[in-house]
Amino acid sequence: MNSISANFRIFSMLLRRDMHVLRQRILGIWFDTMVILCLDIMLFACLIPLMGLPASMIAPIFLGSAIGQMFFKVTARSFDSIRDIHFTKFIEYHLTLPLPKTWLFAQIICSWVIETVAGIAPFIIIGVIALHKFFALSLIGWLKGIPFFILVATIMNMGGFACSYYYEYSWFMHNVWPRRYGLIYTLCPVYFSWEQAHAFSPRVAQLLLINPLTYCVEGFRSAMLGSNQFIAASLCMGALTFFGMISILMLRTGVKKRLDPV
Amino acid sequence: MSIPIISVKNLSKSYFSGKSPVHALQNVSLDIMQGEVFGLLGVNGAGKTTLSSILATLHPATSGHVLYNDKSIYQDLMNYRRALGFCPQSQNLDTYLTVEENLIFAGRYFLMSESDIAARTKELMQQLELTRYAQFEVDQLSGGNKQRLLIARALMHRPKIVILDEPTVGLDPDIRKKLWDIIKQLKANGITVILTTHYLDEAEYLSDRICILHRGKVKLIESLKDLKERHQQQKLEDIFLNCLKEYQAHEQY
Repeated sequence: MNSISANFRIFSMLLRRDMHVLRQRILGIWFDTMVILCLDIMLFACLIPLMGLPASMIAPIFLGSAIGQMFFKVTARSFDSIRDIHFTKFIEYHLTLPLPKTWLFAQIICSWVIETVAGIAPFIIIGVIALHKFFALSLIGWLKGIPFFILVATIMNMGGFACSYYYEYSWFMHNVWPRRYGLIYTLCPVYFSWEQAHAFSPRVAQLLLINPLTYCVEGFRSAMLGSNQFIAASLCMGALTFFGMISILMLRTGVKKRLDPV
Repeated sequence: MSIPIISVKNLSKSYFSGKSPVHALQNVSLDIMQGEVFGLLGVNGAGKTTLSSILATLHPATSGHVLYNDKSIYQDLMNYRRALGFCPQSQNLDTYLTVEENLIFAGRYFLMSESDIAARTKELMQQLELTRYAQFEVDQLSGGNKQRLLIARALMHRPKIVILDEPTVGLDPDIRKKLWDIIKQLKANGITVILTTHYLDEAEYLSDRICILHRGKVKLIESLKDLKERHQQQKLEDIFLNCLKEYQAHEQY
């Protein structure tokens, strides 16, 4: 006997635990975010314009940087996850609970998404207000931007979680930054737009299209700013769904390899 | 004590370590009786942890069956998990929670009512002498207290079967003795205990029946009394060492 309602109740209890822990940690997370926020505002409102960056680029770069912050948080969580698989083994306790493993992994990703959104969202709202002279506030598409932001958080967390299971521990610890995460971050249009990259070199722009972070950054800009200077949010949603499916396949393979669960 | 609560039939487990196959368990068959303490013994790599992990539903078997009350555990996995308490070798406690919260959330995961959780938490903390540490973070606890908390967490939902995988490894003798009393108490309460250990004094003190695993195979299952009579030895340690010599000689031959 394990009805959907029983699974859902256990799922909720696991989520309740994670929210209990998040409540204890949220001030620290917000403090860290505020430090970055203050530095970003100083950078984007004062220093970068002095170097001749057009004012029209400040808002897209700030939004790109928010997604970059999310990327750093997710990669840090993936390191926690791989350490747990190999050393703490807290996941093994969860695997003996009366909850199917698909529900369990969905719950973990759900908690990660909530933590990521709770940690970054205030950064964006306060940043947009602080940098109001660079944003056309009345034109900001919050209604499109917020769901897109949650989608990005979901896909990114799925990817980070999948990586922590897919790669072997020592390979991951030594190589995942230089060979995966570092490449993804460096080859993504956080400090420029894809269109500008295309104008510079179509080859480089094509290369950027194989990077999932490109769609996260460009789609979020498109959803929030509604401009046609960026890759359309709908197109980015399609691409991110595709990357989400790849993450699920990687996660399935990785979980089988690392945990071999029932 | 004669009704099997768990029956293991022709259980095998193989996996790859690098490119070479490892046959961790080979055709293991055994019955675990209701209310007994079943001691699983063997040297390192004998397959004890693999077997207890399969019984705890952490890993699937490559072939063979595990029956709980005559039904495959995989037919009603969630029901079996509700009947089971698993105390693993690694102290995988929730380090973000206090001692009390660890137990409260363990109760919630098994959908116990809040009033039952409160009563059971209090009862277990008293029984396992954890009350004074209730508000301690897990990382502030000593190894022995962590182990007690691990046992308390496994017992929270009142399981019928408890799997203890090396429960006293690395603990001081006095703490080991206290944990033994707790395990004795579990048996007195009618709980079936599967005890994986390589401490022979522990197995001798606690187990009703002993199973020796060697290179993934069951070599012997016998009550402690019968074992001592048959081998004309008073200490399990001597019996175990004799058996081991015999198995190794047999392998060489």
